[in-house]
Formats: sequence, C-alpha cells, structure tokens
Amino acid sequence: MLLDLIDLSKLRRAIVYGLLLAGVLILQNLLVSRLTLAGIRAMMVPALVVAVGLFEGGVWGGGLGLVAGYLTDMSYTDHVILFTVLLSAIGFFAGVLGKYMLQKGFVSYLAATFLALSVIAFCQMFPTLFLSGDDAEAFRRLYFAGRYTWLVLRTGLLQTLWSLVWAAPVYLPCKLIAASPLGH
Amino acid sequence: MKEYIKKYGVRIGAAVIAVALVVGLATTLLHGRAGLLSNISGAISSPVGQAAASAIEWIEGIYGYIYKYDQLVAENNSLRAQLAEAQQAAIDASQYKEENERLRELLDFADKHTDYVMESAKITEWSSSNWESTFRLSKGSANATNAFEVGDCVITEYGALVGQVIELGDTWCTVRTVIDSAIDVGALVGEAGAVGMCVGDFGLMQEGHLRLTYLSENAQLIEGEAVLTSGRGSIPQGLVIGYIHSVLSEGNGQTLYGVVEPACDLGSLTQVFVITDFTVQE
Repeated sequence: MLLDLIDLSKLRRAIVYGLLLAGVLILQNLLVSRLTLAGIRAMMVPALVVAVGLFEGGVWGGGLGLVAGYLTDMSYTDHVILFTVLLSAIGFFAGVLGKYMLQKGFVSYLAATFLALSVIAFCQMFPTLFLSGDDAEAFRRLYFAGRYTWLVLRTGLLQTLWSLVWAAPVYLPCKLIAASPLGH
Repeated sequence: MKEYIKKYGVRIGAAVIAVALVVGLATTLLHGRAGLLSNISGAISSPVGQAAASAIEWIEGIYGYIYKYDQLVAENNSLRAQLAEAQQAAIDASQYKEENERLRELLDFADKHTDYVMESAKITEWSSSNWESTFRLSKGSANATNAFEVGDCVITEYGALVGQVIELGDTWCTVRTVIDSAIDVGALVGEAGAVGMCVGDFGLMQEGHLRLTYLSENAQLIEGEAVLTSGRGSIPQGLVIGYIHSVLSEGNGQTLYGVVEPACDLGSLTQVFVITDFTVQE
C-alpha cells in the first residue's frame, strides 16, 4: 500500500541521477582537480546540473542543483550557501531554456553550460574583487584594473574555459538516461 | 514561458530559500563545527578520498618508474653528491648549534614556549576550488587521541606553520593553509622582533606566497629574514611562517610590505601535525 503512494519511475530516475552526481563529484574532486590548466582546476558539477535541467525540465534541474549545490558548499569553505542557491537557479533556468528556447543538442548544451560557468565564476570573483580589504582597496583594485584585478579575472576566465572542456563527457550519460525508458 | 516560471519557479525558489536559511543558520550556530549532513558526507568521502589518493599515488609511481627512469638515474647521482655535502655539513653542526642557541636567546624563544601536545594526521584531499587553499585531514574530534579544536594550528615535522583548523568533523577536519587569502596570523620579524600581520592575498596565493603587513613603526624588512608567529590567538609563538622573499611598497608609496615565502613546501605535504595544546611561559 505504501508503494502505491510512491511514483517508482520518478524514484528510479532520482536514484540514477543521484548516483551520476556522486560519480561526477568523485571524479571532479579526486581526478579532475589534479589536472590543472595554468594552475586552475575545472568543475564538472555545473555541467551536470545544466544537462539534467535541459533534458528533464526545470523542476528536476532545480532539484538536482539544490542537492549538488549543497554538497559543493560542504566541500568548499569560502562560501556557505552560494552554490546551493546558484546551482538550483542554474538547473531551473536551464530547464526553462530547454523547454522554450534551446534545442537539446550538444552545441546548445555547451552554450548553456558556458553561460552557467560564467555566472558561477563571476559570483566567486565578486567577494574577492569587491569585498576583501577595505573599501578604498576594493575601489583601487577595480577601477585601476591593476595586476590584482587581472589575476582574479584570469582565474575566473580559465576556470570557465577549462570547465567547459570537462563538460563534454557529461552530456552523453545524461542524454542516454533521459532517452531511456527508465523513469518515463 | 512566464506561466511555467510562475508555476514552478515559485516552488523551487521557496524550497531554495528555505534550505539556504536553514543551512546559513546552522552554519552560524555551529561556529566551525560540521553539521550532521556535513559529518555524514565527510565520513563517507574521507575513506574514499584516502583510497583514491593511495590508488593515484600507486599509479603515479608506476608511471614514474616506466617513463622517468633516466630522470631517476640523474637524480640518484645528484643525491649522492648532496649526501657527500651533507656529511661535511654534519661535521660543522656543533658551530651551528651554538649559533642556534644564540638566536633562540635573542628571540626569547626558550622562555616563551615549552613542549607542544601534537597529533599527526594525513592529508586526504585538497580542495578543488580555485579561490581557496585548504585541505582535509584524516582525523577529527572523535578519532584523534588528543581532541582537535577549531583554531588549532598545523605544522610540519620541522616546526614550520602549515595552517589552521577551520572546520571540524568527527573523523575529518579542514585546514586553511598559510597562503589562503582568508588567513591572518600575528607575526614577528627581524632581530628586534617587529610586530606585524601575515595575511592572505589572492594574487600572492596564486604564486604560493603571502603578505606581511601592518608592521610596527620603524620595522626593518630584509630579504631572507625569518618570519615567526607572534603567539596571537591559538597559535604558539615562535613557529616559522616563512622567509621574506621580497619587499615592496603599498599603493600609496609610503608604507612597505613583505612578500613571504612559506617555510613549508605545500605541494609535497602528505603528513602534518596538529598542535592541540601548548603552554606559554611568560
């Protein structure tokens, strides 16, 4: 009788995406983080959130983004709830774009992922650029566009581009899961 | 599209806000202690991280053996030469020992510090973020012989400061390194023991350095000088933070600051020591 209350197909789908999220997290933190580009590490989790949002819709993207964001915030110490909010918003709006504007092809996926990674990089840069040090120092960093600002922007740009490379292998598993009879 | 966003966006937004409020409130109330879900996540990922780190070390070892044989031969020859030099240096050790005793007296080191209570721990994984320099240790509040606390300092076997514990779980803890942009450690520099602060700087973090600033008046900075901890907070006095790499002027051109190179090689660390207790003798 309890089983009648549960939508098993959605539960199966949630479990599969949960396992995929766990695998991507392990891959990101233990392997991809060791392969750096000019000292910069890539992120794979935002790409997964975008892919799920694109293929499964805004609700699934937002839900997976909420869980993925919370797990990401736990492993990073410089933010408390940044990724919890950011990834759930990214997942939801990826679903909205997928439903009304974007094709579900690889190029559209890459474009959406690039946008998501850019937003994430900007949000990570924001405290370093505008909030660290006193106001005068922050002003000097921003408006005189000195070496410090260039380093921050360089880090954000390289993180976005290097993460885009690692977004490619995430596309196919998500597409296969979405296309399979599993959970539909 | 608007209807879709209205219908589902409000629900998703409400769920996100609720989770964010709970997480933010819990983090504030816990003061560095990990919550239940963080603890569970860390307990699950810590052994996986250790296993993966061991596997990666093994694979790297095989790769090194196969493809770096010539380099190993050259390194062996170099090490033989270094060994000969080290044997000569050992003969001169007594002179260095006397000089060391004079420096300790000069810094008032022997009067200020006694033995430390230390706990060793292995590094299980480094943070994958590009905006911080932190790593996780294999011990926490429950599985360490001497209980860790948030704020405990971490050193190498040579007494060089590595960082500070900032988050504590039952079987793991997170350490912020000396080059992290959020670090700040009280410092002493020079023969006169000028007071300053070693603070993190994002730009310098990319180069593996940190900044020595907020110096007392008439402080003299000389390249190569050792920078020691001042004993502020829960960090014992006299630990080596690093050495002055260069002296630069601030944007106003009137004050100087030092770029400090850490005494520890962060890239090669595998095991560190947490000072859980120490006694200060005035």
